[in-house]
Amino acid sequence: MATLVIFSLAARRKLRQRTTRASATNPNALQNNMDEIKAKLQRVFPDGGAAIVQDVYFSYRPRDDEFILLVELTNSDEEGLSVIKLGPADRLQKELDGWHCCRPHGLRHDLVLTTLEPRYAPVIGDDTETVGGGKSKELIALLYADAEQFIGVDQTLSLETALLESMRLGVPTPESVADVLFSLYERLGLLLYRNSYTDDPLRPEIPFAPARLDRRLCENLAAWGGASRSAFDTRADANCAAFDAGLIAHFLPPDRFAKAVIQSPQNCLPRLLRGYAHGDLHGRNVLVGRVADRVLWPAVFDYGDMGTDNLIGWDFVKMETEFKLRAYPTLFTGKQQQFVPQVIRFEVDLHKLTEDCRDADRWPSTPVGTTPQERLQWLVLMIRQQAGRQLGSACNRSREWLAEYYFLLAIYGLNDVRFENLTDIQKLAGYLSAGCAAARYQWDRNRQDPGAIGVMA
Amino acid sequence: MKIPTFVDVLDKTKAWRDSNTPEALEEARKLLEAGVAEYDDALPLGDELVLVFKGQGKLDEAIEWLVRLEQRFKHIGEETLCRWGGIYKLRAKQKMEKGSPGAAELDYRESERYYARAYEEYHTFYPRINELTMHFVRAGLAKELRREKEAAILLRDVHARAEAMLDDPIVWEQRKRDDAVWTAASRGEACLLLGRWVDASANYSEAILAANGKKFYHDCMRDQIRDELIPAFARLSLVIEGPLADPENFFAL
Repeated sequence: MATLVIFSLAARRKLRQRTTRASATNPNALQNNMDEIKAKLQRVFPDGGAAIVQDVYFSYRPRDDEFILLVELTNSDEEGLSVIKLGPADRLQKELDGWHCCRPHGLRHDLVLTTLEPRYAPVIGDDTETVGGGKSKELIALLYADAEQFIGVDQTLSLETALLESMRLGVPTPESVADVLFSLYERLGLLLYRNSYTDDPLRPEIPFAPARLDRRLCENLAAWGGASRSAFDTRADANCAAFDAGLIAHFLPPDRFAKAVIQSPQNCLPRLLRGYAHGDLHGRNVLVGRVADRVLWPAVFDYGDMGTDNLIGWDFVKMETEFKLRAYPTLFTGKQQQFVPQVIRFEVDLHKLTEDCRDADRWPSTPVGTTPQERLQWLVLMIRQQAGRQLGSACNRSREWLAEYYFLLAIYGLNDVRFENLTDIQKLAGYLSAGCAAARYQWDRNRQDPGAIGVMA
Repeated sequence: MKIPTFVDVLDKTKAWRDSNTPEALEEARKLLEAGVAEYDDALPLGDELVLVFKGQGKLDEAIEWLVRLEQRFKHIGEETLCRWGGIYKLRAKQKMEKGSPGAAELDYRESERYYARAYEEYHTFYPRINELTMHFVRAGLAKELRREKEAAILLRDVHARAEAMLDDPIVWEQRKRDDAVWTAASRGEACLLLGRWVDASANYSEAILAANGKKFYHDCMRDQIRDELIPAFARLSLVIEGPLADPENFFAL
């Protein structure tokens, strides 16, 4: 008997949101999606029982042919909660390869890094025998096993939701979110980041190419400099409003910064920590359980960009940037002329505070106040504290990690230009954040080594 | 290595502000035109270029740039919009001096449009009072060009808006260091438009006090009354009464 597939109301609601655009031309888009998921799940779990789709997770760039689902199984062999990714075989295979490269030897079960199991099924309509005598099979799903920690919790939510709600409402408590960040990065540090090396721009392991920083860097720069009206307006608004507010010294257009890096990498690059890393770590790729007003037990999934020569810092700057650009528009309202200086002042304060914490080697254990802005500042600071540990003190780089961090914030922030699902104000937030980091990097680098890079304007 | 930005171009061109010589202005123009080509997203460079053209007395070129910049940039700051309004006002005045009230009227209309846009976006006293004064000047020109009905409508608008402006506390919020001078002067100007001569004198006296003997402020207040308001009153067959009828004397240091 085929496995019974049931969709929860929450899952249907998410799928409906996801198919809204497609529904404009195809009224059956939602039903088609559900039928597709159902058929695939029945192939993944052919042994009967029920598969209850409890939730649907979206990455920042949802692909039409890819679904990440939280599924509860009632089949006696596989009873429990699992996160499952359905998608094209080639992308699943790439993720599986990444996982196999980075998976710590002997790891069978881990609370943070959910173990990955491939699921194969006979190719539909292909009855040819393989060399071994069986039917040819295709990779149809990846199972992020061991999501058992979420059984019985009040709610399972993404870390992004936890961060944003904690910032806005104070619930879940910021302290519990900080605990989650600690558990997450400490575990990833032990399992992945310790396998790293310092890539010195003066003695690079592999000759420099823009893709060594971000495989989309050239594409990003082309988009920022291209004919797009939206990209131009973002650049112009940032420059003009920063200048009008007298804050231009704290903002260096990140696209110009990145171009200068490409033109003169030896002069501009910091020493970068490379090695085993997730590569796409953001708040939507981490699930947390919620009990009362606390969140706990982070579980990471989606290993599509996992690799052995990734930038370790990317796992932190992506988390920070994607959080901030969704937080800023809710905190700083008003027109561009008001939004820009508010964001720049916030960023500058954050950088100064980070430097103070680094210098004193003491990080505040609670937010300084009770406003959303104070909570946001503290939560970002907690991400940076973990970055300081994993990029700095854990590998004897306490003095150099922050410059590297600013540098990566500036490079990563350029990605927003390509994301159609971001609003203009979110793109502006990302551009400003990257520009403030670029300015801070230039200033910090000049302070450390006056010959290396120019003084801030 | 230094990563250059548009601010470096601005810094290089600042010299013209000190010397204001034709050579310095020309050098600034060249630098700025190259800078605008390199940093197409930097409105402050275009804005500075407009000022340089103004300094060179090339108002047509300045206005040509304004049009280009306005088409290119979606968001323009209050100061920039007001500066642009001021350039159209200046060109209108030149056209009046050449005896072309029809052509001047078009520039006054453009000037008013920029001030109105600045007010609409920022809701502050400076663009609003200039917008009203341009409206008033246009009323005078309409009367001179024998469009009596239009002049009456314009004048009625000015009175209604000036009353509303005086009653709107948000407009009068002081944000900049010398706003104590400009808010008092703008109140005085609004009172003048309404024909409240005593209130106008009192407000301008307060502005003079806040100006603390700085000639620049005295000259600005005097020029606006002498060059724009008195001629407009005359075209409307009205006269300013009281001490402000003689702005040279009222604002003399």
